[in-house]
Amino acid sequence: MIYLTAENMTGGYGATDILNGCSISVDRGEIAVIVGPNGAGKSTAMKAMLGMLKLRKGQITLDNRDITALSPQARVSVGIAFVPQTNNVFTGMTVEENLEMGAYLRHDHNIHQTIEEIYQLFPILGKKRRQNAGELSGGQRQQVAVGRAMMTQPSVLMLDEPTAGVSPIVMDELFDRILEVKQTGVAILMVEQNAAQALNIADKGYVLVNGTNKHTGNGEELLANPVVRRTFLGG
Amino acid sequence: MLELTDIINALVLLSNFVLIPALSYGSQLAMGALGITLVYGVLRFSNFAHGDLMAFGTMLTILLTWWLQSIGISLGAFPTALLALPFAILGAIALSLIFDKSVYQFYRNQKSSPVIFVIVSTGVMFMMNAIVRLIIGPNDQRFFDGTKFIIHPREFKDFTGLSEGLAIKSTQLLTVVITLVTVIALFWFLQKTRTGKSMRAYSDNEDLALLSGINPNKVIWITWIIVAALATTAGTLYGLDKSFKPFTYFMLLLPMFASAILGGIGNPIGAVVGGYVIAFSEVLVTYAYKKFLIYLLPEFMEPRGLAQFLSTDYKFAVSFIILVVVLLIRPTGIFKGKTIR
Ligand SMILES: Nc1ncnc2c1ncn2[C@@H]1O[C@H](COP(=O)(O)OP(=O)(O)OP(=O)(O)O)[C@@H](O)[C@H]1O
Ligand SMILES: [Mg+2]
Repeated sequence: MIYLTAENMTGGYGATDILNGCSISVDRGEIAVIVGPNGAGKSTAMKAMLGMLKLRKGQITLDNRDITALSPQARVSVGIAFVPQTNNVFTGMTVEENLEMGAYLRHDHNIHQTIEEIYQLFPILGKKRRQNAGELSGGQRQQVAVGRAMMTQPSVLMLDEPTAGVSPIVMDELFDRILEVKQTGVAILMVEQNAAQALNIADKGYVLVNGTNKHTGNGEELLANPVVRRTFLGG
Repeated sequence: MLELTDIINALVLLSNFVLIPALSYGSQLAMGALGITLVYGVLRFSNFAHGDLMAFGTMLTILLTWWLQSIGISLGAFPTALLALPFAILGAIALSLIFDKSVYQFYRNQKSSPVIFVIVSTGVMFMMNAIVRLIIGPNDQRFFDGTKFIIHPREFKDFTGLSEGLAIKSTQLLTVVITLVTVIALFWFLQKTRTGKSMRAYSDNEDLALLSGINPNKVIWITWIIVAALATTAGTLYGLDKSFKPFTYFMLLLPMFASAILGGIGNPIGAVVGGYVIAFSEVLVTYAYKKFLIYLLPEFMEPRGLAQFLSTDYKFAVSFIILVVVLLIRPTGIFKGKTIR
């Protein structure tokens, strides 16, 4: 089975279901992208996969192990890392402290080595290591957020709109970094508003509407699909 | 003609009645405000029971001190209370954790709003209040022993020939020294240790802290442990310096909250600075400057009244006014704490 698999997810925040039988999966060394209109349930689907939302139906497995009942913290410790859409850094703490907190669950002595690796991936963070994350620009903050998530050395990295509010140049750079992370064998699942660019680097894409899978395919297929182009990619 | 001895006499007077008392009172407020600010930062509510937690911890110190004295143990020149303090801290920690487990945890699980928490903490306040009054009663208690003065005013006078004698009480020096050590230790803990950083992270962004695998229960327990230790230490020092009366400790809530909010609630440095600002304001405004002015002014300009801005009976008005002005002009405080909601 595919490394991280969510099947038939159904549930919501209250009485009404936001997710209606949505299925998403991603393998190691692969990038899967979720696109769709605002309010489609993209963030909700991610939260469900992370265990921050109680599902009424459905099952989530990681490496053939059922993790549906695990708490978010437990999922973090089995290798799933998450970069939330908003409030994704500790604003009152330095860049380096943000990274250290990312490694909170680790008890080995190589944490500083991982931090140096993150600085190699995101050189600007190394330069700003003593600065509070709250004082950084939007793009730099996103790098801190991704860096913090990478500190657990995860096998799955989930990103909710990592490029929201950053300039096109920074977006390209972030995507390059994400491709580098993919090369290390991490399974990457991201929600993206910049659908066309994201599908370009994606191995797999999901179009989500009203909490269900509307279209699925590899990146090029979805980009070539006229319905998808017209409704979600703006022509 | 203004003589040098007059100037020195005036300064000695000022340091006896303003500088030194405000410094030690400010230290006590600072430690109290630190506790309030930590609870606000981590548990996200204004803890109205903080004054009574101080009273409870101090009561334990007093009872233990009396017991130690009764079996003939003392610390010589130092107050016996210092020996009792660590054990009293353990008691205050136990009470805090019991209240957290039996009361606050329930509302945390309910995800109650801050307003509910404030009301709940008021309930806890009444309970602690009752416990203290049941055990030790509502009256004034003195429990100071040891050497009273570091610098004795009469000896100072004899030695210098000045007409004003500088007085530094041992409790004042102890207060300042213990506060300094405690505050440095606390800041080191928050800035440098893994656990301290996880407390700051949790206070900064709870959801992200959970996603990073930080255990919220551990953070909350450690916060109560630190808060109970700070409250008991501050209360004991205040009681040694002045005296212990449960009602006085309840009243300290106002200047302590004023300190925390003035400095920026949730911000530990702000709490310390706020404590000293409030203490100095209170003492400066309620000090009668008559004698001070007599030393400095020519005879015909001498004040007729006490030259006092506000009677000491109204000293809490100072905190109150500062509190109101800060909330109106700069609700985030000097050091940009969180806005109070
Ligand atoms: N915490 C919450 N409590 C209740 N309802 C929520 C909550 N979060 C989201 N919703 C609702 O769930 C639906 C899906 O929201 P979700 O955030 O998953 O959308 P999204 O696809 O991520 O949208 P966007 O592109 O705007 O980020 C929306 O109708 C939203 O109002
Ligand atoms: Mg979203």
